[in-house]
Amino acid sequence: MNAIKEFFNFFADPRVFFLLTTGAFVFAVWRRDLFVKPSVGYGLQIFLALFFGLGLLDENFRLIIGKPDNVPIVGLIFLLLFFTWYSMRQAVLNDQRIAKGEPVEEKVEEDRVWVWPDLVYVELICLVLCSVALIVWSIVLKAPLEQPANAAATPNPSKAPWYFLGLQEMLVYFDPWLAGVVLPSLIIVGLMAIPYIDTNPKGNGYYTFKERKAEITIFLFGFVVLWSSLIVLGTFLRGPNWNFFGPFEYWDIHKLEALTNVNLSEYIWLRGLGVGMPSHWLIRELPGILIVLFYVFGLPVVFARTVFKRYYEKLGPTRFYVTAFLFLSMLSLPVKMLARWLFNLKYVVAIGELFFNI
Amino acid sequence: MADTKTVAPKEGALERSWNWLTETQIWKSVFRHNAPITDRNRVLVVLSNVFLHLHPVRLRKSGVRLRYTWCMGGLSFFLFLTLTFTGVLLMFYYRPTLEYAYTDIVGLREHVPLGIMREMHRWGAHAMVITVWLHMFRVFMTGSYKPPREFNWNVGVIMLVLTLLLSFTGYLLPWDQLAIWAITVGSNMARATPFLGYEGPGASLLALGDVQLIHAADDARFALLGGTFVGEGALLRFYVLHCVGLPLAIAVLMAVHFWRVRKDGGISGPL
Amino acid sequence: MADKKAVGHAYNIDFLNVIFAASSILLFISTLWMVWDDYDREWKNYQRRFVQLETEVTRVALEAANAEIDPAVLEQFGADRAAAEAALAGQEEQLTALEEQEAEVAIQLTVASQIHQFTKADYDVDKYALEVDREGAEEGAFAEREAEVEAKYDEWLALGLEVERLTAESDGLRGQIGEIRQGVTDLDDQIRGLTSETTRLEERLADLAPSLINDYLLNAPLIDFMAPSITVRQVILPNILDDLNFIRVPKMDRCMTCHLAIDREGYEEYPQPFATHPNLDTYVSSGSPHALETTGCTVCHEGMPQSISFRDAAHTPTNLDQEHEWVEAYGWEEPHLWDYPMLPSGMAEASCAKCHVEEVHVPEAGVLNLAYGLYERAGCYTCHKTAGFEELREPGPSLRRVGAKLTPEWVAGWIRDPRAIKQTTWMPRVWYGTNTSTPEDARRNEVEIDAAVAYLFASSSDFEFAVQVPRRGDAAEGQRLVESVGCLACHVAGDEGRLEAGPRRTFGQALQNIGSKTTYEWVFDWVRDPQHYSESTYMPDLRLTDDEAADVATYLMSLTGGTPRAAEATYDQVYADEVLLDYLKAIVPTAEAEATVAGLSAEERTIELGERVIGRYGCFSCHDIPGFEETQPIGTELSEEGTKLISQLDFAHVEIPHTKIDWFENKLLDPRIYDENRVLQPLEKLRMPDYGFSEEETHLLVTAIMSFQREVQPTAALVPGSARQEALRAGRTLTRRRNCVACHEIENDGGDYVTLVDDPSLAPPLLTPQGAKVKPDWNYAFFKDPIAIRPWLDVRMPTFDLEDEQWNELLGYFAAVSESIGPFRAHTVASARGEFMATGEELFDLLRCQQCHVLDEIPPDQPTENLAPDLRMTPERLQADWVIDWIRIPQTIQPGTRMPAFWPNYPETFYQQFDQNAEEQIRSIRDHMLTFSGGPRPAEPVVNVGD
Repeated sequence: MNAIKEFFNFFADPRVFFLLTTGAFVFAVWRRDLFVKPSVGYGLQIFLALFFGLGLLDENFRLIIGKPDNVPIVGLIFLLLFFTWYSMRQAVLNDQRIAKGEPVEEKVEEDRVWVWPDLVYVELICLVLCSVALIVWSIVLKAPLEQPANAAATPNPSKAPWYFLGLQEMLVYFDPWLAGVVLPSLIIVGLMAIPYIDTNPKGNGYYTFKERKAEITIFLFGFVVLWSSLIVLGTFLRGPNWNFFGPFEYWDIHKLEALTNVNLSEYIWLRGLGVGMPSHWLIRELPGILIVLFYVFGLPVVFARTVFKRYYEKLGPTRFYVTAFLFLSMLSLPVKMLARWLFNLKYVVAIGELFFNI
Repeated sequence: MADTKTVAPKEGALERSWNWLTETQIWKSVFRHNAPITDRNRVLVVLSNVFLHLHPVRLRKSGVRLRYTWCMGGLSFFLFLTLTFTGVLLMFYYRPTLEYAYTDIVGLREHVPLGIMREMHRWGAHAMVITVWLHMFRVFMTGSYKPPREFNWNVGVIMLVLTLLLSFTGYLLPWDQLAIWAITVGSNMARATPFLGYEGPGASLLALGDVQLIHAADDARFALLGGTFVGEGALLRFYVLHCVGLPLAIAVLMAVHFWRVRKDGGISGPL
Repeated sequence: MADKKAVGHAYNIDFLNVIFAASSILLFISTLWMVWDDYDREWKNYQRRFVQLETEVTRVALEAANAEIDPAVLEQFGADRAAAEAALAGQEEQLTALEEQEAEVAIQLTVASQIHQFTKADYDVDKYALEVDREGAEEGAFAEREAEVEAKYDEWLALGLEVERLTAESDGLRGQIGEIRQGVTDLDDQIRGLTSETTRLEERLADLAPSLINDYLLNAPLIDFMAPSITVRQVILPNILDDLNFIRVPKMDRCMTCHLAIDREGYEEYPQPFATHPNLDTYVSSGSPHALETTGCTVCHEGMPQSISFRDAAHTPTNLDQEHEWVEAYGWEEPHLWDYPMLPSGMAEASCAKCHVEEVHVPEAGVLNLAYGLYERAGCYTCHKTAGFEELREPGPSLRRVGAKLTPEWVAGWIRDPRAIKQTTWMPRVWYGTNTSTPEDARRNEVEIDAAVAYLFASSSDFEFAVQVPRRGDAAEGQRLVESVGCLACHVAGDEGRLEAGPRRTFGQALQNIGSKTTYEWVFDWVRDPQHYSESTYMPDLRLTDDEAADVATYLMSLTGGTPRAAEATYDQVYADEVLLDYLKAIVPTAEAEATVAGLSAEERTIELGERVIGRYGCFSCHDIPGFEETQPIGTELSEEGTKLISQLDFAHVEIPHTKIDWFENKLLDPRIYDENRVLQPLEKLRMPDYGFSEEETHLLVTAIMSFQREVQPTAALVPGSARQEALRAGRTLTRRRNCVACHEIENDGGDYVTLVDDPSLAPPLLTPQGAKVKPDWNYAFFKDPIAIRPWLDVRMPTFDLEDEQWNELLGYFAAVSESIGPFRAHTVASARGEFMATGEELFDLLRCQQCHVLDEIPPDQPTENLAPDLRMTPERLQADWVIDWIRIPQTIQPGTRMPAFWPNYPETFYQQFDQNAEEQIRSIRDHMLTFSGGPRPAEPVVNVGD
C-alpha cells in the first residue's frame, strides 16, 4: 500500500507532474485518433474516480481532498478532462467527415427546429438537474467556517481562493508584479485578442481540429495544461511554507527544502568570470536584460523569418507580432520553470533597487 | 372522403370549467395565445413572452444538441439567478461589520431557518466559476468567436473576470481565517502592480519632487482594500461590491451578451 | 421564396417527458430532504426531548405534592364547605336583594364619576385658557372669567362629594355580602392554601402537554420560522466582552439552548445536557454572584459562545473514556477550528482569574487556590515572569555561605537527583533529563555538576557560628519539641508525598535525612537564630532557649539516610575544558575562546565553567548566589500563556493530541520531551529542570497556566473594588505568602496544622473572628512580642520579622473579614454603678468562670483541653462588644469551642438577677470583667520611627 502511495507521491512532484501533463497533452494532440476513443475517455474518468475513491482511505489524502472548499476542484478535474476529451472527439469525427468530403455533423443538422418545446424543454431539464445537484451538494457538505479572522495569526499555508491558485503557484517562479499583475492581464488581453488575431475563417460553428490546429493547441496548452494543472498543483500539492507535499504525505510544518536559488547575474559574474559583482545595477544585469530584450523583440522576428514564415504571411505583421508576443509571454512560464528546475535560476534580471525582477 | 360530421365529444365537467376559465377576460389578458401545440401558437408564444423571447422562434437543430452547446451558458445564467436569489436571502441575516459578520454566519449555519442558503450560495458560486470556464472552452472549441461574434466574445471575457471578482469579494464576507488570509494573499499581488503598487517596479518614478505619490497608504492595494491591511474597510467595501456593484455590472453585460448572441446569428453553426 | 422546409423537432418529446418527470421527482425529493435537514437539527431534538423530561419531572413532583396532602384533612374541609354552603341557603333572598341593590348603586357610581371627570376636564381647559389670555393683562380685566372658573371648580368639588358618597354606600353593601359569604370564602382560601402547589403543578402539566397548535403546527417543518416553541435561547452580556481579535464585543451565550435546565433545581441527576449546574447558590441562579443573566457560561467554560452544535461549540471531554463515548454518540472530534475550546470541567476555575485579577486566594475556588499554591512552591514564577507573582521570595535557601553548611560531595549528590535524598523536596533535577541521559551526556553532566559545585564553594563567603562548640541535647526531648512547638506546620519531617502534605506544609525545606546533610553545629546555629545564617529567610524565630535548640538539633541530626544517586561518569579535566570551550564559543569567536581557556589554571577553568553552568540552568533564580544578583531569568513569560494560540506551541516530533492542555501537561511531566529525536548540539537542548510532578500536580499547574490570560474583561465585570475588598486582597496575599494559613484557619481556609494536633482546642486558634474579638493595638503589640495567652499549649506563636506596614495590612484584613470598622475603635469604660457591678461579680462567681479560666493561677483539676485564657487580660485584649456576643452564644462565633452556652435559648435565662433580663446579666458580667487587671501583657511596642 505504501509503495503505491510513494509512487503517486513521486509522480506528483511539480517537475514530474508538469512534464507529465505536457507530455500527455502533446501525445493526446499528436495521436488524437487514439485519445478520442470512448475507451480512453471513459477509462480516464473511471481511473480518476477510483484514484479519488481509494485515495480517501488514506488519512492525509482525506484531509486535503476532504476540505469542503477542495471538492469543486475535484469536480473541475473530472469535468475538464471529460469535456476536453469530448470536444476533441467531436472535432476528430468532423475531421474524418471533411476528409471523406462529407459535410460536418453540424451541417447535416442544419434544418430548423422549434424553440418551443425542444430547446426550452432541454434547458428546463438541465436547470432542474443542476438544482438537484446543488441542493444535494449543499446538504451533504457543510460550507467551511474556521476560527474568526485573526490578523495576528497567519495560517501556514495561507492560500488564495482556489481559482487564483494558478497565479499563486506562478509566484514560486516569478516576482509578484509579473506573476500577480502583468501575466494575468496578458491572459485577459490575450483572450480578448483571440478573435482579432485568428483570421482563419474555417472552423466557425463546428468542431474541427485539422482546420484549426495551431489555435486549438495553443488554447488547450494555455487553459488545460497551464491554468488548470497549476490550480490542481497549488491546491493539493502545496503545503506549509509552500513546500511540495505528495497527495499521501503528512503536511509537516517542519519540513525543510533547500531553496538555494541563484540569480543569472551571480552565475555570470561570480561563477562564470570569477569577478566581483559590479556595483551599478545596469552593468550587473546587462546580460539578463539583453536576453530578455532578445526574447521579447528578437525571437518574434526570428520566428517570422524562419519557422512561422507561413503564418507571418497569412496574418500580416501587426497580427503576427501581437500573437508572437502573447505566445512568448505564455511560454515564459514553462521556460522559467525549466530554468528553475535545471539551473536553480532565481532571477534572469534582478534589480532589487527598483523592485524590478524577472 | 365523405365529410363525416365530427361530433364534439360530450364535454365533461372538467373540460367545461377549463374552457370557461380559459375564456375569461383575466386569463386571456395574461395568456394571449392558446397552448403552443400548433406551429402558429409556437411562434406567437415565443414572440409575446419577454423571457421566452430570449430565444428565437426557430433555430438550427445542431444548436439544440447538448453535445454541441453543453448548455454551459444556460447553466451559468441559471446559477447566477440562484446566487442572486440565495444572496438576497442571506443579506437578511448577514451584517458586514467586524463584530457581527462571523457570529451571523455561525447563526446561519446552526439555527436560522433554511440556513442552508449559505451552502447553496457558496457551492453555487464555485459551480458558476466552473461553468463559465467550460462555456468559454466550448465557445472556443466551436470557433464561435469568429466574426461576426468577436465583440460578444470580449463581453464574455469581461464577464468571466467579473465572475471571478464576484467570487473573490464573496470569499471575504464570512470573516474567518480562511477568508481574511485568502484575500490578503490575493490583494498582496495588487501591491506589486507596476507603477501603481507601492512595491511594484516604477512606483518610485511617480513622485512630484520628493513627494511620493504612490506609497503604502495610497496605491492599488489600498484602493482595493480601503486600508493598508484587510480590515473593516475591506469587509465593507467587498460587501458593497459583492452585493451591488459587481452584480449590476455583470447583469448589464449579460443583457448585452444575450442581445449580441441573437443579433450575431443565434447559436453558431457552419455556413 | 424558396419553399420553406418544414420545421421539425430535434428530440422525441415522449423521451424528454420521461427524463423531465424523473428529474422533477428528484428535485422534489431533494427539496424535501433539504426541508427535513433544516427541521431535524441537533438542538431542536434536545428541546423536544426536554419537553418530555420536564413533563415527567413535573408529574413526579405532582405525585409528591399530592402525597403530602393528607386526604382526611382535605375531605374534612370539603364537608365543612358543603355545610357552610347549605347554611347560606337560608339567607338566600336577603342575599339576592343586597346584590341587586349593590349592582344598582354601582351603575350610579360609574355615571357620577364620569361626569365628575368630564367637569374636571372642562375646568382644566378653561383654567389654562384663562392663564394664557391674561398674561400681561392688567389686574381685573378677566374678573368675570375668573369667577366662572372658580364656579366650575366648586361644581367639580360637589360632584366629588357625590362620588365619595356612592362609593361608601357600595362598599358597605359589598361588606354585608362578604360577611354572609364569609364562612364559604374562608374555607375556599384554606383549601386553596392546601392544594396551591398541586394546582400549580397541574397547570404546568397542562400547558406542557403537546397541543395541536403550538407543538405540531407551529413547529412543523418550514412553518417553524414564524412562532415556534422550539427556539434558540441566548443571553447577551453587556459587561462581559469577547476579544474577537482586537475588537471587544459583548458576549452572547447560547448554551442554554440545549442545557435547558441549567438553572433549575430538580434536574441534578438527569443525563447531560439537561443536568442542573452544580452548587447553584454560587453560580448561575439569579440570586448568586455569577447569575446567568450577568455572567453567562463561556466566560468560565470557554468554547464557542454563539454555537449551538455539540461539535462546533468545542466541548472538551474530561477524560479518555468520556472522549470515546462522545465520539460514538455525537461524532465528536478535536475542535481544531476554534482557538479557545472548552476547559475540561475540573479546570473551569482557571477562568476565575479573568475577573478576580491577580488574586492569590479566590473564595470557593479551591482548585485554583491549590494550583497557585503549587505554582508558588515550585518557584515557577522565579524563572517564568508571571503577572501577579512579582516580588516574591526566592524559594531556595541562600547559598552565600554554603561552605559553612554543606560539603561539596553532598551538594554534588544532591544536585544530581534531589528527590533520591528527600522525596518531598521542591528542588527539581536539572541534569539527567530525558534529553541528557546518554553515556556521552553523562560525562558532560558530571563535568557540569562538579563545575557548579566548585563555583558555589569558591564563591561562598566564610561564616562562623554564634556558638563554636554547642552542647549536645536530648534527642527524645528534641523530637517532642519538634512535634509540638509547630515546626511540622511548615516542615515535613517524614517522607509524606508533596501533594499529600500540600503547599502549606511544604513551605519550609523537608527535614527528612537532614542528619546526613549537614553538621550539628550548623543545625544548632540555624535553629537558635535562623537570620544569623541567612538574613532574608522567612523562617520565624520560635524563641527556643539554647537547651531547647540543642535538643531539637540533636533530634534533627538523628534523621539520617537518603543515598544520593551515583555519578555515571568520572570527572576528567580534558573533557571539562572542551565543555568550557563549548560554552565560550557560543558567545565569543573560537580563537578568543581558546585564548581565554588557555590563560586559566585548571581550578580557575572549573570555576569559570561553573559560573557558565549556573547561568545556563538558572539556579540563581531560586537561590541567592553571589555574582548573579542582576542576571535575567531564563524562562519565557507566562503572564498571557492561557491566551496563546496553539500555533505558537511547537509540538516538534512528539505524537500527542494537538491541544494546548496536552502540550502543557506533557511539558510539565517531562520538560525535555520536545527535544525527542531532534538532532541538537548540547547548548541548543531544552534546559527546563524536571520536578517529577505527579499527574494530579500537573493537572493543577496546567489549571494555573490556563488562568494566566490576556486581560479582556472591562472593569464593570471585575470584582467591585472597595476599601474592604482591598484589605481582604492584601490580607489574603500576606497570610499565604508568609504561610500564616499553615497554622491558622481564616475564612474557612487553611489551618493544615490543626489536623496534626490531636485535640483542636490545643491547636492554633481560629482567626476569622479576630477582627471583632481583639483590640488592634493589643494585637499589634502581641505580634511584636507574642506572649503565651494559654501557657499550657505546646504550640508557640513565633516572632515574625515583618514591617509595621505588613502588620497593619494584617489587622486591616482581620477587620475586613469580621467587618468591624477598623483599628481606631474606642469604648467608654462601663458605668461603675454600685449594685450593677456587684451583681456582675455575683453572677461571675455563680457561673464559676475560674473553673476553666485562669484568673491568676491555672485551675489545677482541669484537663488541659478545658483550660481557657487568663481573664485579667480582657480589658486590654478584648473588644468590649465582642465579649457580650461571645458570652451570649459562643458556638456561633467559634463552632466546636469548649466554652459552655450559659444562655442556650437566649433570651430565656436560668438566673434571677435583673428580674431575668439576660442581656443585663451578660452586660454586668462583662463590666465586672473589665475591672480585672494585672494579667500577662505583651511589651509596649517600640515605635520604630524608621531610619
